[in-house]
Amino acid sequence: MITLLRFLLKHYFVLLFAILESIALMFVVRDNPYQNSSINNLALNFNGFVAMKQDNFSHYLHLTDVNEKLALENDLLKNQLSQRIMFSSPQPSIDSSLNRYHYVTAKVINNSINKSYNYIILNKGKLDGIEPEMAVISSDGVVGIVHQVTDHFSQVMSVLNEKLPITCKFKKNQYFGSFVWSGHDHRKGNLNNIPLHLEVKIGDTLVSTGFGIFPEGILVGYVSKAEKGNSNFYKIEVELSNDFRKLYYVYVVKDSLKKEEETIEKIK
Amino acid sequence: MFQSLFKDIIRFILLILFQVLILNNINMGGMINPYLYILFILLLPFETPRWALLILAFITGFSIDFFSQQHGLHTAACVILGFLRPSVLKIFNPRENYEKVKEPNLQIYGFTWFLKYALLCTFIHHFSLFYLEIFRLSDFFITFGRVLLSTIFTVILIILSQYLFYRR
Repeated sequence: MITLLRFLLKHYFVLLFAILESIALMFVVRDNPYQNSSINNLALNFNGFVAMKQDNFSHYLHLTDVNEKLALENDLLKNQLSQRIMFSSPQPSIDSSLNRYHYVTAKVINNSINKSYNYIILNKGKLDGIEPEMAVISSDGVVGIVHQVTDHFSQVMSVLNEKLPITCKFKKNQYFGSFVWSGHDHRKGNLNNIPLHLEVKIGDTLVSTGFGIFPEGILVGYVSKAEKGNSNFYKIEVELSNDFRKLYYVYVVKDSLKKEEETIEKIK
Repeated sequence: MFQSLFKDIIRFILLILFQVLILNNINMGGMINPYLYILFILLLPFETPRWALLILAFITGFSIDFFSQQHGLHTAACVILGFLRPSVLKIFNPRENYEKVKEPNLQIYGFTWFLKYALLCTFIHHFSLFYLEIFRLSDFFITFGRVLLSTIFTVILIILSQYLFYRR
């Protein structure tokens, strides 16, 4: 211990320089956009590369889970498809919003559920058509929004992130509120802004409204607890439909009408 | 002792103000950007303890950064200068001990010595500053040209200021 202190005291000059210079460089990288994006790009590429190598080893362990999920999803999709074929009219009306959403499948190579701000890294990037601010969903529900993209990797801000509120509505009626992750349990979050005069029961399904980035009707979760809060709103606890510990494949949603929607929203 | 401290504080304020109000607006051809405020770090007494040198350099750079849109750049460059100043002094040291003069002064040590000292220190500072600003290696030679031209101009200003203020 004493030798360590003596060593530190002997080289205090270099250490002090290192500390002060790190503080200065932290200011440079944090507050200047060009330097910030340079460093972020570098970090994401490195992170993605390491995560991909790691995932190559460990993805065998989850194969049973993934296969079961995929089989279930296939089942669901086939049923939907057959229903559509059954009910489709001989001359379908040309609706410009029909081919609005395209999906890019991506594999999760890095995930976290235990931090305050959790991010997911995917193995698809700019070269696969992914851009920031795109919605990311899975067969079980909402996953997050794309935050940063490099050529081969994307970083997604997970729903388990206190910075990401999601507007969602009850499936049974159209009342909507804002869902925010609570920060502790990776299965639960809180739903705010639901006034007391509405009827809320345990087990009610919550889906995305379609007003924001997510397409309409994507599962968010189920109400697990509904209590009267202090002001005129409920205190609702929501159990997420997606188990983020078992997230393997996701779909990044490309909304071809998004730019148009944004331009019309700007007209006030 | 307090008289020299007072002088140092006045020099600090004057240099920062001069830099921010006048020199920051001088931009000749995009290549020449003079940064006279580093004179404060150059003229600190020889006996300044090294930790004080670093902290003073940090404060100097931080004060200039307040007035610029790019946070942290000048702070980082000044701290590097503060770290390397003792080494530069050792390189140009005629003997092992500097005489009992307070500051690196043009009059006492002669023009050549001061020119070498100012040139090397300014070069170090401008090199770190311009390369941190551009943050990539692709325009290496253009940036190096900027470093050289700005260094020459700043050193000219420094020598001029020494003649202006230390005629005795």
